[in-house]
Amino acid sequence: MEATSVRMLDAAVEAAALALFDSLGIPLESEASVGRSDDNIGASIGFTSPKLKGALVLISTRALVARALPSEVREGASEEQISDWMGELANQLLGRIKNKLLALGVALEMSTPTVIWGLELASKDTRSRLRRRFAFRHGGQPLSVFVDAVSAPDFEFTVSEAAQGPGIAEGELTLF
Amino acid sequence: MSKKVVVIDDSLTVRQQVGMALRQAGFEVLEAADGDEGVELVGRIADIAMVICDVNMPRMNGLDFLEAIKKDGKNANLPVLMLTTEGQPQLIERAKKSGAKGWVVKPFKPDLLVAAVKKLAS
Repeated sequence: MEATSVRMLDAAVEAAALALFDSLGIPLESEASVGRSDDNIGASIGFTSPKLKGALVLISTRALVARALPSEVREGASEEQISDWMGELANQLLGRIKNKLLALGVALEMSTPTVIWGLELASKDTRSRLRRRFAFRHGGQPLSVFVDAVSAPDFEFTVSEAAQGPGIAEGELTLF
Repeated sequence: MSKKVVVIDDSLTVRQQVGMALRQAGFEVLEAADGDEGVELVGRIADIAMVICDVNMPRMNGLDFLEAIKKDGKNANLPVLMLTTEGQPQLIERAKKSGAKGWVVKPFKPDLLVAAVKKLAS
């Protein structure tokens, strides 16, 4: 994948993460390096398409995920709810990235998320041809997004009028 | 008597959030965690007013659920609203052709969702 395509992917992931957490009342600041914590929770969700496949990993802290819970269920949230919401955040983040990549000619199929807990969780280098990481922070709490992917040798993102963007944007409701 | 709305989503938190909004609006809410459970619930309960269904779920996804229940003629008029992170036009078109009445892209606004449910379940 050429540098232009990598920049397009980076822009899609960063914009999706900022917009998702902003919509939840958690404005994120970009960081130069991935933060560590001994209160980590993570979620991984896979994606595939004919020429690009891989996984997205979201890592943050239980405190930040609890703060991002919908206000109706935030008070006294259980560990089960925090785990569940971490999986849903990964799902919504990949959904937003998918919607942005539709306009670049790629339609990803998404898997369902897996949630993990631990001390100082980090995504290590893999054999993936494409490995991107994005570091953020909110209120002293770190949040990181990793994208590990492999692509076909001739794969590039393309901006074309033929490529359809999302039919309905995030937060919108359409009745048929 | 309260109208029954089935909420199908593999996220417990989303089911709780949707359920709270609908219960406050006077609906009775029944929950299922995937399409398989949804098919079982819709087959077992006779007087369901409408269904709200996620798309990406384990075991059976929301579009397969929609097609499965619409094969049964008694569900032909049962309104189904898809609630998902997906915005891909081909998936929206598939849902529309399969008989869905609407599509919401998460995160949803509870007041908009309740207004849509009131309209579709009436």
